[in-house]
Amino acid sequence: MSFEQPVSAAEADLERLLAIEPSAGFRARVRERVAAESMRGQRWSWTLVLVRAGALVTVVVALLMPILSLDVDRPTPPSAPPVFLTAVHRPDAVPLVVRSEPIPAPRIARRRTASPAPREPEVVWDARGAYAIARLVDLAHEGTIVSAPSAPERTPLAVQPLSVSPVTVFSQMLQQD
Amino acid sequence: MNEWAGGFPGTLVSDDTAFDVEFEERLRDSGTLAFRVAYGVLRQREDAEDVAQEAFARAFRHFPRLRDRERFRAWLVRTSWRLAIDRWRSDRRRVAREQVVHPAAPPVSSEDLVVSTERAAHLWRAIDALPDKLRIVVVLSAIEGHDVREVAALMRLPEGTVKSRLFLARKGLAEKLRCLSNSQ
Repeated sequence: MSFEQPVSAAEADLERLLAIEPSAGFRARVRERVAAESMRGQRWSWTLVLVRAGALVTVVVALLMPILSLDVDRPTPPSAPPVFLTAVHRPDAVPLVVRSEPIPAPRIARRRTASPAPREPEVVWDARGAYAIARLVDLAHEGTIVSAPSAPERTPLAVQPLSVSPVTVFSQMLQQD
Repeated sequence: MNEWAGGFPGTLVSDDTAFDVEFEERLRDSGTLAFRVAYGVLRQREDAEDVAQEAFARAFRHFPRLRDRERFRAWLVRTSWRLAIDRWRSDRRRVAREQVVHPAAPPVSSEDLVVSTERAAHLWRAIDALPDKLRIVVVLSAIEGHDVREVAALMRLPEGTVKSRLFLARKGLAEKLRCLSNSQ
């Protein structure tokens, strides 16, 4: 081809130009550089270890914090009034679950009996009142109780009929308008 | 893990001796290759050595999965190339900024004197004008007499792809060189 000859000459020049050796201290500098790289890698590895450990601790604390705060921070709810359940024995009830093993006998609470009707309150008299009543009864038996004189017959009061004049306010207001 | 002997620069000593022996072997085997790949982009010995050092430092980090020789060389070549290209681009931007104030002549290395300076400048300019994927094929095939199969192994590409890229690269190189010659 037409470009073969100049390119071949150029390639030969290029080969000569690139047949160059590095300086004498090149390998030693590479070793130093790699040693520095290794040391830096070790430092980074320790740093990475510390960072990972810190992250792990943070995650663990973050996970445990809600659990720990349940016992520490959460206010205790007001205690509900105790609920007492009383089992009632129903002899006609059908058990829901059939078990092969023997069912322990249920603890049957004693049926609460109906409370008796409240008695009427006892009337308590003091000593003088009781004596007065007893004396009244005795005198009534003896027939010595004198009935009090009857009160004079009262005459009914005469009430004059009321005369109410008609209300004129509304008519006056109409006249004013 | 791995600690290198500070007082004896020729060898390294660590707890994992086999690991370090293998890495030392890779350094002897591929150190020059990484340097030359970087030099093919940067054309400055110090810069190319810096890039090769960086590539080896990165290779050391990934060495547990790069213990296979061919895999290591391919990884090192690609990493050196990428690092060199990055530095080359940042240098170009920096030089472009500085040349606004202080116009400077392009640096001439002692290696450029092997070929005539003018021809070398033309050649590098033509290579720099190629797309990256063609440029690396040209550079790798010019290093250590790599053939298409070896370049394909280093690039982790099929041989056919390398062949076609090499063809396009040579064609483009010829056009660039002709343009540069005509412009003078």
